[in-house]
Amino acid sequence: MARSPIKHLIEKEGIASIFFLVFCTALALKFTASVGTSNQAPSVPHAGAPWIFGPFQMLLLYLPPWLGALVFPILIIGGLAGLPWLANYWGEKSSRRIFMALMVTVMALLIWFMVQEVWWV
Amino acid sequence: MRGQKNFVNHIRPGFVPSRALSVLYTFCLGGLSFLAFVILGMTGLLLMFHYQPGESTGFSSILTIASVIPYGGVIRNLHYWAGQLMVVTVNLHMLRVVWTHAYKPPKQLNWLVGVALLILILFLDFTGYLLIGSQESGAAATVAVNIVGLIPGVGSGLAQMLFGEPSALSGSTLVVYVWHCVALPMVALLLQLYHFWRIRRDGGVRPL
Repeated sequence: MARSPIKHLIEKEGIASIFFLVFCTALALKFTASVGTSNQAPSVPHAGAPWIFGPFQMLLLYLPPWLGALVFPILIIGGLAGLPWLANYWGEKSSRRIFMALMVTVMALLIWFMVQEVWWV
Repeated sequence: MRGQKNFVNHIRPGFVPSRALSVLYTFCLGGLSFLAFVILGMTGLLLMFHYQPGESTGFSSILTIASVIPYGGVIRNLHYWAGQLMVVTVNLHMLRVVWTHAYKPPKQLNWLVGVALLILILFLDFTGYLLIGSQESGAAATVAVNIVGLIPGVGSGLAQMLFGEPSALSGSTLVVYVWHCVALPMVALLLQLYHFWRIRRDGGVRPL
């Protein structure tokens, strides 16, 4: 196995960190984080969840609370945690496809909610 | 002493597998997630100087930070965006791990630690949202309390332990504040250090 000095890895991580810091600072300067509605103001009829919890809110919207809020999240977390063992059981290719499809769907939903939220900032 | 040396050698060995240097293999997503965590810690510490949890004080102190304290708005924005980007980088990091089969033995334990970190980060994000103390965070706290209350037997006690007594108008409570600023970050930091140590221990990144 070919090996390289760790300083090369640190250099690359350092460059990526600088890009990340610049991007994060640019976002902070351009987009103001929402403070929401004051609790002294008249009550808001519908409060949308932050984009990260958008998929979770959709589960709560369409399913009974015990199913959407407890059973599904526990199944998803259990499935994620058990991936190394499920991959053995189902076979590598099929399990990888299932989980990639699930994760890509969740990511696509998250990005959709994030774009919507940034759009309204 | 031996344990310390072992830990340092695994966190920062002299040499790493050459394939670990390929940016297109890891995309530095794990390192970037940790960087976001560090930014969150630093900006969060600065915010703590002016933030006061409570039904009436939570929201007003957020407004003070955002509009009165010098550079408070920028620091709060940076805290917010680093938190959002951390969720994105952590999710992409997990996708990369699944794509490159890096969850398979002997790395299954580190995969479990990663899943625990994902859950912790989501909790950190949620408690941060509650601390804004707005009507929306009050609604979110109410939903969360009701959900936790669904757990048979321990639900109401657990809800009290996790959220204190949030009102429908504000999710900002001292209990949520302590979870967000002390307990969850400390557990997340310890798990991250163990996660990094395990990466080297399990042999670093592997080829596809």
